[in-house]
Amino acid sequence: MPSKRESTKIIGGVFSLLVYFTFPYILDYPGITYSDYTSMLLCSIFIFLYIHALKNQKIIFILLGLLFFFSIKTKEMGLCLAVFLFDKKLYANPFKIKSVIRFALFFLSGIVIGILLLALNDHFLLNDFLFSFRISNWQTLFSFNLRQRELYDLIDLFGTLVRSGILYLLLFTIYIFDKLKKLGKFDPSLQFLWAYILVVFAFHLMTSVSGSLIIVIRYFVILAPALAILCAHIVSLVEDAIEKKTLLKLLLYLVVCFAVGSCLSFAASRLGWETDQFLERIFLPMLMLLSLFFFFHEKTWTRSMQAGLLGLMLLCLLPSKLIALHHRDIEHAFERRIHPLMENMDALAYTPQMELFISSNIYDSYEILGRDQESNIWMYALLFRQDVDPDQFSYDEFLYENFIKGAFTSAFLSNNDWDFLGEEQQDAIGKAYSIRETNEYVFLSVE
Amino acid sequence: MSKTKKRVLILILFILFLSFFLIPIILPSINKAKILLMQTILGFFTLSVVLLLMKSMLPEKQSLLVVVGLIGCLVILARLLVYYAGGPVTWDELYYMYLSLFPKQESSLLNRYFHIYLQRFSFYSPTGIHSQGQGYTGLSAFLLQPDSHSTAPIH
Repeated sequence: MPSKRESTKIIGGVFSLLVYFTFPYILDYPGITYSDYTSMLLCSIFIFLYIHALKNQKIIFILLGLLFFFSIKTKEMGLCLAVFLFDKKLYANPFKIKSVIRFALFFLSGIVIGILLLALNDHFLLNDFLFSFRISNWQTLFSFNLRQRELYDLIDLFGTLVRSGILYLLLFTIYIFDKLKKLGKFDPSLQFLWAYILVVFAFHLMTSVSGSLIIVIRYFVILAPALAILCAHIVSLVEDAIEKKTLLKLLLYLVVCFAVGSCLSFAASRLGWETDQFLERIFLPMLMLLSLFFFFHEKTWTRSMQAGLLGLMLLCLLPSKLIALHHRDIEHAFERRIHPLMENMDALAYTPQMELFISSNIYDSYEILGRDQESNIWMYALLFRQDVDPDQFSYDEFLYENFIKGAFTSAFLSNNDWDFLGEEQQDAIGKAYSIRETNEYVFLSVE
Repeated sequence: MSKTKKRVLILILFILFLSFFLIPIILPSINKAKILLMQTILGFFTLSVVLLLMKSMLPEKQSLLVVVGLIGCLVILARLLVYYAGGPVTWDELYYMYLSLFPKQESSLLNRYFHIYLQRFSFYSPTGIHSQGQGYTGLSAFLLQPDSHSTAPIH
């Protein structure tokens, strides 16, 4: 933060966290094991090291190499981090080829350490030290990732950026850059953060052109740390305005934001609208337009107003995200999927003779359990910490004739399957299995 | 920083530290989520006071300040967010988790293996997967969180 004042740095840090936590997908899907989150973690550590790096720090170059490699091995977009290596601030003599090559070698040694660490993991966990090196494996990967898709499948990059509000944050950073330059507070390393964001977009565009990737908002979470850092610089632009009685002014501002938020909720409820949708579709675009309108005004008060508007937008977004977090929607969604297995854990304990049948109608009717044989196996494996032979799991449409011929030790049928059976057929099954009926499924197990 | 200010900060630190542990005792009727939330807020205030004190007492140890800030934030937020950890929502995430627990050679996921290996740690952590089928996403919250900690001290 280009400021000597401690309060500016602290408020800037808090503001950056506010941007970060209101960024799409950060609080909306906590705990989901998207590789994008791991990728974001690695990118943010990389950026953290880059910002703190001094000239010619060997260890930093090694660590950057390591993180760069791990990022690529998490998600392809890790490649975009390479843009930071072009910053002169990392090199004491950026125009001396020998010096640059020397530090490039340190960076490469970091990559080599990463390759070795992963190869060791491959050796101990996959029993194949050369798993990552085999050309045949890479061919499989490319044939999977670079397959051509229909143009219809390629969700538009621009639309995604507009809808998620990321485009506005990008424009806001341009505004900040302009003002920082005018006030002589501009740090060149910010340019590389900006370049990194552009390279990520370019990467997405390239993959779209080749027809290999569908773009979703989730892919942009790796930009959250960079955008949070850049947007927080607005605080250093308005520090003069809040020089005196900083705490009081901040408190007043928070009270105003809270009052606006309450008024919005009240207005939305009176109109019979959902507050979140009202915010996202009407109120926030209005604030964004207002902010864009004042982009080229040079007066000091517009800077304070811009900071206030961005803060208001973020503070309006935060409550609904915190409420979603508090309701633990994601956890409940998965618990709902897996609950038939959890409710019958005793009868489903693993034995080599276990043969489990799952009717496809359960997922089709209630969206519980897996949607194919594999996902059912994975759910079972995660719940019981037991890998199973795929042959032990049958996932199919329920047909009485086939089912009665099979030698299953347990089965999940949907209520529809069960109700469709005649009384005699139900009795026949009842003789072979113990039956447990619920509102959604019927669980059968050999006594 | 004057001596009086330091003493006041130490007193505040003591009160914050004490209240952190007293919340569950003083308010036994409120649920775990609210206790955790209050403890997190108090934790952040405590950490801020610790950092302010460190800054005044050890002005030359900037790196130590950053490290304490990072680790402190990580611990406080991880404790809260592990409680709120979700679960896999799509086929892919379920498969990644399965491969983390039971590693297999899957060439089409070759460039995802760091993520898969890193996730593996979560299954063996105290907050990780356990036999009740809940909380196995626990440490994924850790994966999500450290970047916020790295974002904060950057400023």
